[in-house]
Amino acid sequence: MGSAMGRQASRQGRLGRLLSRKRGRTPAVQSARAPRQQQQPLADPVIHEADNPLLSRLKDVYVDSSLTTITQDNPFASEVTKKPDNLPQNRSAYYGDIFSVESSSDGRLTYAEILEILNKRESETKESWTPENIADKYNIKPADAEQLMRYFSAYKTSPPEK
Amino acid sequence: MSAAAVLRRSLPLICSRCRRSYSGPDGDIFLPAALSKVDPVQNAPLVQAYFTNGFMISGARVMGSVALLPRGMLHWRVASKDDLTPESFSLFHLVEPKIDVVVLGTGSKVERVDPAIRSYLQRKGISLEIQDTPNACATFNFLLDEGRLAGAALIPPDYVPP
Repeated sequence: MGSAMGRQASRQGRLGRLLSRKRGRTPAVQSARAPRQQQQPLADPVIHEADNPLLSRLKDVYVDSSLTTITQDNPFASEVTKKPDNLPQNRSAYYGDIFSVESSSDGRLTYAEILEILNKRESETKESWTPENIADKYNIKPADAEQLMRYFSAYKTSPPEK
Repeated sequence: MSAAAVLRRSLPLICSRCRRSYSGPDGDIFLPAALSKVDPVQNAPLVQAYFTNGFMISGARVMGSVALLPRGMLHWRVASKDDLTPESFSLFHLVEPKIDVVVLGTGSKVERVDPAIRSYLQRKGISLEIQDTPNACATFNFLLDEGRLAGAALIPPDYVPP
């Protein structure tokens, strides 16, 4: 069934192509295209003429494709010469051992400093160890010191009973 | 056999899909958290197990909520998700080296938290990942294993399946 329909369709297609070839283009299309093709002049007749003296001189020209030096006049000179920055592929190789930090920057604390603050808070110097004192000593904000002591504490170790 | 010995023997076989609970020496049930390696990163506080009243972190059993840093841990004075405030995350932006991502374990199931917490951490340049505590433990372990500067704020789950 399917193959019969396919044969029928191809037969119709062939017939249609044959008829259209015999008929040619419609007069309306022909008349519309013909004057445009005739009227269109050549853009520049000089381009289409062979310049034999120039061609003979160009035969002696040798073009070198090696890298040319970039002058300062070139606005993209700096971009061309700039080497791409290699992105870090390994955290420890790029930054060093980031986990073993011994000194902290302003406004930050190392884990050892945090433990020191919290342990002193728990010890007998509780009254003298106020958030203001901590903020002064460790260069952090008093509010941060207060929140640190309010929400966090160091663990106390209790050895297992035998 | 002690709980630690049971855990040590079972760790190589643990995966997140086939968790099996164990009874501790005190009769309480605990579940091992997923670990990617048997040999953990040196000094990294990897979560080995979670209980209804605490966690086992690098061989030490800690009680209550815990705040984990890439190379340390502190007790977190937050009993449930209702106690969560932006200020309760102050540790993570104070610590040096700077933490990239904080994993928040909200207990037995994932809970909605105050959007102010997320915006507070975003202002400090820290991403927040909210998960239930079992998955938060595993996520934190994987992040540390990859050498990421990750922190975790974990609330113990109310229920550990037997």
